[in-house]
Amino acid sequence: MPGPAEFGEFTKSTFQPGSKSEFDFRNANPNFQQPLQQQPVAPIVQGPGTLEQSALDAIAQQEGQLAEIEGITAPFRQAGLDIALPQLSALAFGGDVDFQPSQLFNRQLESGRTGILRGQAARGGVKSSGTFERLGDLVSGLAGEDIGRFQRGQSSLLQSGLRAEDLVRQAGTGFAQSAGNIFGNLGQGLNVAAQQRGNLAGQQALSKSQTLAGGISGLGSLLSELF
Amino acid sequence: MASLAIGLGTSIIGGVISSRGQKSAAQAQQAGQQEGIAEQARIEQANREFQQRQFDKQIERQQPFVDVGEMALAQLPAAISNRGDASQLPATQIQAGLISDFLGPNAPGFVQENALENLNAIEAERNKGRLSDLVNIGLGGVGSTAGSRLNLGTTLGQSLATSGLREGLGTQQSLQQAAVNRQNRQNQIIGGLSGLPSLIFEGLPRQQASPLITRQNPLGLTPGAGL
Repeated sequence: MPGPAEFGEFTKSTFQPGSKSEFDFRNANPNFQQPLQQQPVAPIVQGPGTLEQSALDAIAQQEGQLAEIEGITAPFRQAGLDIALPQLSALAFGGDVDFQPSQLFNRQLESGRTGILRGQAARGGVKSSGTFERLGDLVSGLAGEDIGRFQRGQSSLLQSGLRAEDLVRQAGTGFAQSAGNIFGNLGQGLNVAAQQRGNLAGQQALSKSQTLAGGISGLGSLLSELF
Repeated sequence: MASLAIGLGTSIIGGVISSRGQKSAAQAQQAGQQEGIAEQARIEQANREFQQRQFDKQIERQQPFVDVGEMALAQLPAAISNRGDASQLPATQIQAGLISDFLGPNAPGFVQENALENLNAIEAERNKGRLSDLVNIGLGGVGSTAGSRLNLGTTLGQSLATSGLREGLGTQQSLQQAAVNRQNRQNQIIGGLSGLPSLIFEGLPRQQASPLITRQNPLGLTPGAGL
């Protein structure tokens, strides 16, 4: 069975709603230049890291669901991958085949043998080569049918595994696309938030300078009146 | 003169403060834009890393099916051309064992030989079908892998385009903003310079303190006296 690590960053056992993803994209790109230092202002978003944490929670939630899907489909996938595929490969390429003749084979062989022997006895030729030829045809045909049933059973098992794998792949693709949207919205949101902070800081600086300039102008007027 | 000096001084100081305020505001806005772009680029980078891992996992899960398909593909041409030897295949040997066990040592040799030759011929044909089935399984895995790679490529491309677009727009906005700020400062300087004459004329009467010098008669000429 694949371990939890193969199911992604989150598993059923580790995922907790509201928990921080192991995938921390705060450290995603160390090569980016640091943004310019600016005067700290009141954040426009609801709190530092709020957007990122929300995105992490959303991705973690979906990753948990994907792990669930992988978990419930895993037995089917493994049956196909670990049992059927090696057996079918062995039949085609050579190797160990875990085959035992079926009860049906044994029953049909026994009843067929009885029938042939009775027929040959009625004709008075039980020990003739014809009897062996008929018995040879009987066992060859029944053995071929039995191997064929074994092969079809393995193929069916493999198809179940492939179907399970397909379900996981579809879920994974949907999850990746959804996560991509979350990342996209997060990036856009952080971009807008940073711009709003810059605009706010700019407005504050401008307002401060205008107030100061106005005060000085008023002071100048006052002094001019005095002199 | 004091009034003139005060007027000039306060005007210059006010202008400097106002200009610096505008400059600070522009810098804060620019810093906000750069920070926003860097934030979005960081998130997009994280998105790309995330998508890469997700789709790599999908591709990895398809690999066993692809491997088997490739092995089958390598043997299928020889099998189709009837150059394969089915006698050593597990299915052939299993059936041969069943036939021998059933017929026993007393069966005529030609019966055994005939049964085994038939078996080899039948299994040679059956193995073409087995190999063909496995090739199709591999092809399905290849198709899924291709789909995953296509999805990954699309996602990575979109993410890179988003980052590039934001960076480009940000640069353009910064350049435009810088141009606007320069223009504002130039306008302010021009406005300040154009205001200087009136400031000087406003100051002169107070400095001269002559009863003949008025705003209407700044040179103090006596009406009707001529120069």
